[in-house]
Amino acid sequence: MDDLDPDVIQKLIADIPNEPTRLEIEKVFREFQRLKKTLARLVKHADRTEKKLEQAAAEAAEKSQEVQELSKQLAKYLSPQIYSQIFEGGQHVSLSSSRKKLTVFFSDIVDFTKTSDSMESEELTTMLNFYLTEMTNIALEYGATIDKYVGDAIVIFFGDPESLGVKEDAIRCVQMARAMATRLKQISNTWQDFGLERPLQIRMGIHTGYCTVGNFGSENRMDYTVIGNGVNLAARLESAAKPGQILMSFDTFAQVKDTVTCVERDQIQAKGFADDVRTFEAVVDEDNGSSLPLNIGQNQLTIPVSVLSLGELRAIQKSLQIALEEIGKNIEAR
Amino acid sequence: MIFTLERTKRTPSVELSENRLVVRGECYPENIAEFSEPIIGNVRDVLDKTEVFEVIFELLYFNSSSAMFLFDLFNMLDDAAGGGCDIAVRWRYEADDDSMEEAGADFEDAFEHASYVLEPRDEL
Repeated sequence: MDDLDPDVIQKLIADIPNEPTRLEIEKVFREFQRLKKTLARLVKHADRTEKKLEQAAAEAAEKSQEVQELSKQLAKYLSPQIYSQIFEGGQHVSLSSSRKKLTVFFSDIVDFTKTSDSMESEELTTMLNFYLTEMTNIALEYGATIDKYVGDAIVIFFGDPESLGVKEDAIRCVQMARAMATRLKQISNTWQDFGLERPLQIRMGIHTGYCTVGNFGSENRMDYTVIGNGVNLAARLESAAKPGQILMSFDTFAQVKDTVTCVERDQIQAKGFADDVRTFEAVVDEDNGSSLPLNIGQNQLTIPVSVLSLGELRAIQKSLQIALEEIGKNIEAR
Repeated sequence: MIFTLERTKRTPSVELSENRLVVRGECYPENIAEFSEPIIGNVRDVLDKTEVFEVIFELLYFNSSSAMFLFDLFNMLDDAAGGGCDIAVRWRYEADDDSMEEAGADFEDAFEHASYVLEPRDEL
């Protein structure tokens, strides 16, 4: 559009004699008409482009909404930490793993198979979903990574993808287990609504140790999970736990002993482990009744009386009576 | 070939010979003057020498400053046609591309002397 250049226009004007001829006026008029047409076409083009852009923006907004809806649905299948790691680009989705010290938690419902056999599928689904929702809410509150649900069983770990350090991860895991046990007591009357005669009870097992954590499977279908001996031990501890009990290994106990009241329980023979495994129970109702301070070797334990069995209480009573008698005799002799 | 430009993400390929100009691709260059001036200059030189000239446009998108360049080119072609050169312009567009079809239809009245044809294609 050199024709629009003011210098060119000035030259055109300068070239016109003082009294322009008809031909010269016609030439200028034609140029003017052409420019007018060009301007009109440009405006039309700009309008069309604007319309197209608006349409593209609306389509993009619609697509974005669709993606958001899809990712919301997908989020339900993933642990929130894993979801945010993937969707915020922090974790590359590939078949890779790393070895880390994690605290692994297993739980399952006592006699679930027997219970489920006597229930209608719909009732069972509602009951199980209610239970899993309650437990999941607690797990998420404590920052757990929910590995998977296997029927009524829950597999959870602490320490990946986020970790507060091995000690804090272990403490959070045990505190989560205690909160789960407490919640189950709070909702113990609910199970009748699902047609269960007795309240649900669960077993829980916890172990802190080195595990391999990452994506396993194939390039087309992978699971983010943990594997290794540490995971197996947590599962064995869960199997060995009594109904309502939180049973942990010495490795977890060593991390939580200053924070959580624990009682040493019988050693267990765990399949796949050469040596017997020392076990410790995390006490749930610490405020319920009085406690006994005991020194056993180098371990200092505070045992709430409520967790001791009648036999254990009688044995302690007998020991104390003997001790008191001995102390009395010593005092008299002096 | 008198003048050629490789196709880029933002600019079309340009092939200019003694009797033909072919422009293919998308056109939204960062610097329209840098892109258009050599084309206009070379086409002007060719039109001064030839008696028959064909122009083929196969554009998928062009922005407003490229539209200005196209109008300049069309005016030059139509002036040459008015001066006696036999000029045929073919505006090809993908059959489902309404935008390029409408743009092609708008350009039609830029030509008083040159022939102008709209040609839908399955794929460009």
